[in-house]
Amino acid sequence: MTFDAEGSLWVVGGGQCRRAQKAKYEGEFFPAPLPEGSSGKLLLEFFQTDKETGRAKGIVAIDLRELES
Amino acid sequence: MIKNEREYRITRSQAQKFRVTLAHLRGEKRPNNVPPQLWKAQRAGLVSQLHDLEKELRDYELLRSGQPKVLELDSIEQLPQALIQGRIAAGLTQDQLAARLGLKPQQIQRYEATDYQTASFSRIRAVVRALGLRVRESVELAQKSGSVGQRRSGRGRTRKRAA
Repeated sequence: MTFDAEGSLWVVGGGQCRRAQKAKYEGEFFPAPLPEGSSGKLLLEFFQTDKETGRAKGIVAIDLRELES
Repeated sequence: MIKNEREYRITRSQAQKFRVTLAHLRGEKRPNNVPPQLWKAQRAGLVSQLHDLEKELRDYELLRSGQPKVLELDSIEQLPQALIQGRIAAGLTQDQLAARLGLKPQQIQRYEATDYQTASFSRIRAVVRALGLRVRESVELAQKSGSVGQRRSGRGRTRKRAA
């Protein structure tokens, strides 16, 4: 799995490519090259927050770097 | 779709965090071990998600302002969302709508959380009445030569008007 190919989707097309990505893979990539960086922390917190209650919810984390090996 | 003031506050707070992070990223230098494409993709992803959040906020604010008078639907599948939008446009909370129907507030919360999947037709009619909505629908009939199953389910056009 390469991030670059998915990353190029983001860079080239914005919202339209997000929809194409979601339609094809039934999911979306939000690349955060440094999980401990500001965007990594933001995305983790964002997806762990229940929009209806504001409380934290459980999510399944898969470390893609481990999948590659 | 934002359904109530609490979700509105949570979404507004999330959007602000995205803005702060994006501002922070602008000042950050790309680490040597991160490809430029990926670095750009990270920012584009955050911008795109922020746009989604801002659109949700704008849509909710517009509904709350009472400006839209008519909601155009493409199919009956969109009716549950229109009921929620109708409540927001009427300036009613979930609790207030529940009170009008003589129901517990949790019942309306459940209906809206599940897009009215478990509501009976008579209950949906009661909600429409309680919200003061006028719903006008047109149903496209199946042609004699084809079976109903061959038609796309979303073909029927539904129009809904708020009184």
